[in-house]
Amino acid sequence: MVYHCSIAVDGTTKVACGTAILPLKTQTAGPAPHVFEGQDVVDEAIYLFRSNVLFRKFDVKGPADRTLIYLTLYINACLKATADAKTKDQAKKLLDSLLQERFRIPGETGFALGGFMFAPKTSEEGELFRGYMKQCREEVNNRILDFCFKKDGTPDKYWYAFAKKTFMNKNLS
Amino acid sequence: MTTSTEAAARPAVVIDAGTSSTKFGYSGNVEPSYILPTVVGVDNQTVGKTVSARSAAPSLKDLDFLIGDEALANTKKYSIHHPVTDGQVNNWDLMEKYWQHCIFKYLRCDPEDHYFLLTEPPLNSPENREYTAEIMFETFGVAGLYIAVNSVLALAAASPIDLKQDSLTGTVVDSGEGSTHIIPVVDGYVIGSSVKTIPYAGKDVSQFILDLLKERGEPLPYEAHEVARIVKQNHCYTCSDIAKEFNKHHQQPEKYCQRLEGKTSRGKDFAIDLGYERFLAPELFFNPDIYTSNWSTPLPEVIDDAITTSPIDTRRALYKNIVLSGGTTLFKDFGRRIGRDLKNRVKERMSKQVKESQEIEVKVESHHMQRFAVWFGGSVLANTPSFFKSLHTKAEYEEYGPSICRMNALTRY
Repeated sequence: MVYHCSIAVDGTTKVACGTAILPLKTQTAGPAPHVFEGQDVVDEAIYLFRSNVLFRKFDVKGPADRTLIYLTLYINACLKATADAKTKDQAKKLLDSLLQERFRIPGETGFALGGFMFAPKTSEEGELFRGYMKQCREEVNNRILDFCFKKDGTPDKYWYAFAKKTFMNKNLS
Repeated sequence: MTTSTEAAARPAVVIDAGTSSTKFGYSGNVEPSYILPTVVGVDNQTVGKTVSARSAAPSLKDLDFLIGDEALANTKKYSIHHPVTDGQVNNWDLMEKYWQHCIFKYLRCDPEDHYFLLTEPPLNSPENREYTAEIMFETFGVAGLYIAVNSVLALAAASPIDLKQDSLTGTVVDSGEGSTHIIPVVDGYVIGSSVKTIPYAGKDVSQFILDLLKERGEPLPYEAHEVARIVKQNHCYTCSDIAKEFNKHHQQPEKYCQRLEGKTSRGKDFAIDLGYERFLAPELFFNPDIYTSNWSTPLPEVIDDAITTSPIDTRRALYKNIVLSGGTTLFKDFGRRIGRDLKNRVKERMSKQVKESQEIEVKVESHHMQRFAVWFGGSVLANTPSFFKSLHTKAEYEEYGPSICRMNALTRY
């Protein structure tokens, strides 16, 4: 049974394409509300990544779960992209180029999570989704390498083994 | 001819033939004398020829066969066959050969001097019992025979001291190498319609470990299955929460990640690192999704289903006495995890009730004899005085024929 997102979604949380715009502990600019302590959704996604990636189905309980799914897919993509990197710097460069790519949002053909998320009703909603996900991706890039690389700078095989797994048989594009 | 009092004075022979391994020895012992794989290796040239118990004298080639580990070590000359599938015998000639070696080559006893206790799976057909009786009495000439249902023996093994009080009621979770069965037993009788089967057991745990190790790129030797078995038997444990456990492994690798070094049976050295497969492998019973897409019901849910389909007046007793048996239930904290998950399920269901009722006690028994629970139960049973009243003697067989063995009276203490 998959782990669901534990961050509460109340009336003030914005929702774009069915995904909750949850607060992030970040310095970057963007639509996400700011939070300064505790675990934010990116921390939670990384903590639950190795467990959730093993499951084939995910029953969505709310908009926060969809944020979690998107982040889990992105972490999987990061691992796949940096699987061959030997040092942390190499991996950082690969992640930066991954960040620059233009990614798809719900409603566009070829979006990997078409079944889970709804197409945006207005172009503003689409822009909100894109802006928030860009911020999330940047945050994942900043934090994931501390987990995937050991203290001596070599890749941690206990994390990179999960680069071979595919979460729900989907690849983020 | 041996009289029955002489046979009664000697320990009975207890043989528990399972799908993957057979345990046999003398009653009164705590452990079986022999544990061999249930395989028969026949000479490649005699395959396809059958010899029944009453037909012409066998040629010398028919005597040329091996069983157990010896058969597996000599696969060049002998082709391997498994006479037992899913607990039931599928090839009587091979089974006869197997028993022959058990009695004459390993135990080296005279079957005429002993009573025999054999085991059968629940829902075994009466015809199978007849065939067994025929072979035992005609070919081997045993002094007496009793065929017991393996789950009832497993229950008896869990509480041998209370045999006078308890009337053998409980749920048996039997997980060996081939498949897992959940068998509710009430007053010594198996509730056949509530028996549930999960097609995953020991060999799947080993396969999962192997898949995880290969995925991580560990340097496995050619005999990777042996390594997987060693990991399964010595290094695996059941966790309470996989996300927490992953985190523990990440924070303290020196405590949780181990290095395994050894030699395979062919003398090759190997050295691999062990990590999250230690707790993920037994997790497949609680979250089958992580291993396969064919099955998605966790073990505690199947146990709950088995009990709720049993007669309503028996359910409290069934929840109170859940007994584990078989090698695959030996993981550390396996019983505790089943108990916890099952308790939560039952509580959730009870909380939806309109009227409050007394809390249902859920108890999972783990005990020392789990690995050979069935054999140990047989060993205990064969030493009780009423065993001698219930078994079928040679004299009875000669008088009435093999049909008497269709019924094996329940032994009351």
